[in-house]
Amino acid sequence: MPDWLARLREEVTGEPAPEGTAPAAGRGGDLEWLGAMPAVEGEEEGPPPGDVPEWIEGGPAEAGEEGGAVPEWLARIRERARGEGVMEDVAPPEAEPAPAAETPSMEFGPLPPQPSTDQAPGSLGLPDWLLAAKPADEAPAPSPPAEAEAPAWLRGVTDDGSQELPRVPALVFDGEGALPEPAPEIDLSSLSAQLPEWMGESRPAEPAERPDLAPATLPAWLEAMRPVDTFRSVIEFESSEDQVVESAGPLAGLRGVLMAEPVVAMPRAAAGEVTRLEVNERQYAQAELLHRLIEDERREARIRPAVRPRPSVLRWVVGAAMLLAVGLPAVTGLPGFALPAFAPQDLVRLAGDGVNPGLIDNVAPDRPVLLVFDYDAGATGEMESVAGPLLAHLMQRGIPIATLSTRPGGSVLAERLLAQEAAAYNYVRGQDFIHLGYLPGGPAAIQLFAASPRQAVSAGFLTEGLPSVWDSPILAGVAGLSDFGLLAVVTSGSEEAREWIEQGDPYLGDSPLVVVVSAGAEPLVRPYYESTDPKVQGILSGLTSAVAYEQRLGKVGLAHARWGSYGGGLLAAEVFVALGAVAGIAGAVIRPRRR
Amino acid sequence: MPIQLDPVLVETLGTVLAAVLTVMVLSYILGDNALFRAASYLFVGVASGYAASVAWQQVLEPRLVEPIVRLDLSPGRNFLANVAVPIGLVALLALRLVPGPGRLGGLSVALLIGVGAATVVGGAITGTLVPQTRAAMETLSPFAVAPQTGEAGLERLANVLIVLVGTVGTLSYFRFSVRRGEENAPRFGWRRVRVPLGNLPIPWPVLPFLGEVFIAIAFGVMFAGALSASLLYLAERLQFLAGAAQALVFGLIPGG
Repeated sequence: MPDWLARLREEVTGEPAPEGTAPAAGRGGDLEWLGAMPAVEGEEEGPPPGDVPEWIEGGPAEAGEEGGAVPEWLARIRERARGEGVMEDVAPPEAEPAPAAETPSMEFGPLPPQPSTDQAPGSLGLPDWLLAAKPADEAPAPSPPAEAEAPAWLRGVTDDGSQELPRVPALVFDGEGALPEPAPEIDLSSLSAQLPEWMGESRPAEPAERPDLAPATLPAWLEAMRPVDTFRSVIEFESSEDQVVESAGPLAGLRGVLMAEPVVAMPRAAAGEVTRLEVNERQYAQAELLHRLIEDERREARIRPAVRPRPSVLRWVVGAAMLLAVGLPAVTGLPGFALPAFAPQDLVRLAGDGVNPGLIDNVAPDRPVLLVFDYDAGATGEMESVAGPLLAHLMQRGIPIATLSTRPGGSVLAERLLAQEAAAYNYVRGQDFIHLGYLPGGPAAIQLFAASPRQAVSAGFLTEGLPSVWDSPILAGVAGLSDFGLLAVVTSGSEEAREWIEQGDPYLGDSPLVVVVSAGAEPLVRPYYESTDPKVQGILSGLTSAVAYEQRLGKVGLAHARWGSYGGGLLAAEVFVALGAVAGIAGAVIRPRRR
Repeated sequence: MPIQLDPVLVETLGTVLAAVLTVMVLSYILGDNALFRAASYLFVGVASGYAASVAWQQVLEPRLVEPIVRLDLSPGRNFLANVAVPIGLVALLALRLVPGPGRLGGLSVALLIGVGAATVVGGAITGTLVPQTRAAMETLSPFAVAPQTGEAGLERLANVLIVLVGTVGTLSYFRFSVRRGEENAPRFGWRRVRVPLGNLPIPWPVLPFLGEVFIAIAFGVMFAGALSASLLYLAERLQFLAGAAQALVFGLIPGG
């Protein structure tokens, strides 16, 4: 008896334990399996004195006398304890069937002090799972399950050893012979149809159709991924005579071999990996861009208020200086700027030098000249100043004038300028000058007018009393562009001048073409003038030429009136350009030094 | 009965209105403001309305309406060419407003575009391209005389060389082919050439550099011309304002 048990007994009974009366643990055939358990440290000591609960003290006595259900080894322990007087106060319980197959309890709480009927009698407080782990020959054998409780698929399977099931020899390489080839990978899913019948019965029964449940609906994307029903849903097994004999390969000669064709060649639904898009970063970025574009199209654009730049002080200073420089000579006539000392070479060819006649001087006085007014109202400040001397020169010579315009407002501007000059030379509209009006159609209309003016223009402008503009005596002998004594194009842009040069020059004949052009467009027109085969015979541009022209005519006109303002403004502009250049250079020099 | 207005009063009101509008436009010096925008909108509207009235008076009424009203089927009037075909083309063009048969209007549009393009291209070749190409290849003979300017000798020779170098340089600057992989490459670079005084950087190739110089000079001349024209516009307006103010002041003062 271990010391701790002896001490326990001494505490319970008050008698010293006899030495050597109890067998040591592990001795005896009944407790061999228990004795084989390894000894735990402190096992010899047992619980400390006084810590034994009461239920332990009375426990063995209650479970002392039990029927044949008590195993023999336990009965001996009880008998020995009873002989020592430990269990004499405990009456044996009524014979109850032993809980043969009691489920091990997982409750670890303190047990009630009175003996429980659930506990195995004579268990000595051992847990149920420990009792259940006892060898089967010692524990009462559980009753065999009834035949009716077994599942249907298990009824026919009883391992009674009467018949031997077919076995597959283990594929264990014994080291002799050649190394066997590794088994090929087999699609187990295809073998599911070959399950034996008894395993097929174990499948859960098909649930009956229930009207109270809504039919399952697949999402569209999942429906699209559903495999195509290519294979037969029901596999029919052919008889062994009908099965094909394999004719090639390692399985040659075998019958009923699975054909590879359905696996390899027959179409079937694409695998899941195929339906998944493989997108690289660039494609993803492009898709994102497309997505953003579409989203932006849907989004309502907000109207952002226009950002107004704040006018700078420098702008005000420059504006005020320019207004002063241009306006002061216009109002007071001061300061005065010297008039041109000599006439430009172009003006000499156009108007002559007093000794040699110019183009205007050579125009026959009985042939009308055609003046084309192709500029807008905004350009009147320059064009009237420059074209005024030419008009005055023509009127000085008494040459009849016809005007035309490819712009809707050109006829009004022509009337305005002619009216200004006509008063000085007694020119009367309808008798000395006439307006052909508006010529719509661009270059094609210009060509048509050059070839047949009467077809191109029918109505005139301010032709009171005339059924048609061509009924005017001024245009009596005009049937083509060459019938005009001179063609003068007054324009503020180079495009209009180029159109008249390109379309009108072939129809002009010996009549000269003169271009009165703005100073800004002169560089683009001059190549037609300074050429070995000049298309333009005379050019007039800039206020300097206009002032020189008026000097040549001995007339003080609009060019002279604006000469002072033009000079003052030009001087101020030159000063500002020079200051800006100096500031730019200084900034470019200073900035790198600061860095 | 038309309303008879005093011409002097109309002239005075017109002058005052023009002066006010001029001041409103000049107020842009102070920055973008409502007065400037109102004057701009007014000018655009008046110009559009006037253009429409001119188109009716001088184009539509005499060429479209009058031939239909005064239908003249005499053989000398050539009714088919002068009336029927133009009116038919106008009718086809008007069909473009209808969604269904609007495609028939393409005939008129095609005629307009085709005739216009042929006219412009033909005129550009015979009036600009060939003459200007010939002008860039004038003789270098010192005995030749320029027909327009009368230049001769070295003066004319220098001008001819300048025109030749400028034309070739500008064409080489505007090369109409892109070298592969060098879309944004500069048209010329700088190379150092050893001279007795040291290494001198020169542009290479030289012709594109010269072309850029000529282009810059041409733009400078055009800018100067535009500035000159703008100064004349401003001078004309300020003179008008001064004259209008003087006329109003002296006109309002009795005996003035």
